[in-house]
Amino acid sequence: MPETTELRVSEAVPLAHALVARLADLADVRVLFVKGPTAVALGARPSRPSSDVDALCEPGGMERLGAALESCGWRRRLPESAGKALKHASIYLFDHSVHYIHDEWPCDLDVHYNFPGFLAPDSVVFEALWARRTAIEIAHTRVVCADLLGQTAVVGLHALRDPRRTESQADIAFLAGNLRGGDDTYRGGLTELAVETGCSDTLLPLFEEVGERPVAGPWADPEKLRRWTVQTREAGIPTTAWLIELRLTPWWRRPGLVWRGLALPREELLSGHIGVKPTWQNVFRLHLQRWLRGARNLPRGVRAAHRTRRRGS
Amino acid sequence: MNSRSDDALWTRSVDVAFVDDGARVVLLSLETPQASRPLLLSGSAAAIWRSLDNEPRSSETIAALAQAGFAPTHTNTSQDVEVFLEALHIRRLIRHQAISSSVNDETEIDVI
Repeated sequence: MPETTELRVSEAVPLAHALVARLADLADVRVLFVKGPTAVALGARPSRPSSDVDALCEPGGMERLGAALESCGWRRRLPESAGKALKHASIYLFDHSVHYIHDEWPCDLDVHYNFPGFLAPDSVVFEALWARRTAIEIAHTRVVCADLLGQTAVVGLHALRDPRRTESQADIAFLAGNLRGGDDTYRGGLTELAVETGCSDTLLPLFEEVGERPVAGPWADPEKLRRWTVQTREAGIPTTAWLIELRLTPWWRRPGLVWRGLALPREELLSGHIGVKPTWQNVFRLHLQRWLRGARNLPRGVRAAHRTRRRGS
Repeated sequence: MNSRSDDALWTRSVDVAFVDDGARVVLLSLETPQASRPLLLSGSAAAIWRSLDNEPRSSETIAALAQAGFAPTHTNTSQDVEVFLEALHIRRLIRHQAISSSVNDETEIDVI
């Protein structure tokens, strides 16, 4: 009986849902699964394979849940924005989750402490989604997840973060179809949830698709909405983030920042590529891919950087 | 081990997550997740897992069901099945229930 080292993604994702649910339960932390198989099961996303687990953690629960995950061998993956290099651009980065990886699991765990696009405070959003939670069976285990309306909002916001991606367009079209075909309760429920959680403006393209216009809620925030707009129009992370940082950094620090951006530390580079052996050939290949991706995204990044404000302006 | 299996019933543990794509089964015990790793089953091992249920079953019944569900040319001796069930039990993936020696009715069982 081999204890498997060849877990497939299609096996790992449902099992990891069950594992996270169990660990959260043991740590007495409330988590809601969002996106991925839970959204597919509830009819809030077209069916397609998932490569990670998305869980929204209750405010104040990240430390306990993180410790529980680490006790099972999961470790934090370093995002490119992890260091202090992007301190100016961080407000545009949608830092919203901690990624966990494991040497024997071919999937990430994406543990969210908030979800970009919900402009209400994290606790308000979590409690609103938690109050209408549901549960489904994954890997023959019951997991608690956002309900259809919550998943609709989350999937919609995720798609609108980068609306040019093919998957994003498919998701928006799918949700719009659901809303058109749904009854007034569904459309009205989504409108109410959007007001309650502060995503009336950020979900606007989806509402417009179906001829709805939700009223502005108590969490409307012009500055947060402006940052959302900057990011979603030119969603070239991480190139955009580096160029925003460059624009907002004093000129005498820019050469160092450029060097830091081009020569990402080896462990930071590898942490985003599960299963890649740390040979110099692989490191060079990853650097090369990153530089090429950066060159492709340069025009979008420059446009995004121009939309940002310098400190004090 | 064999003597216990003679008067034992087996069920799947409640705290087990598993996926089954029809060709292979991967199990993960959630009872003590810190000590648990995914376990891959294929072939007759997967057939035996499928023959287990949430209802208690004897190793003989499990062996017969597995035999029917797997390749007809493949033969699991009942001893093979019992050894395998013990291995699953050690990993807390299945539960062992001993039939009370004074009662033949399988509805009256002592849960260990």
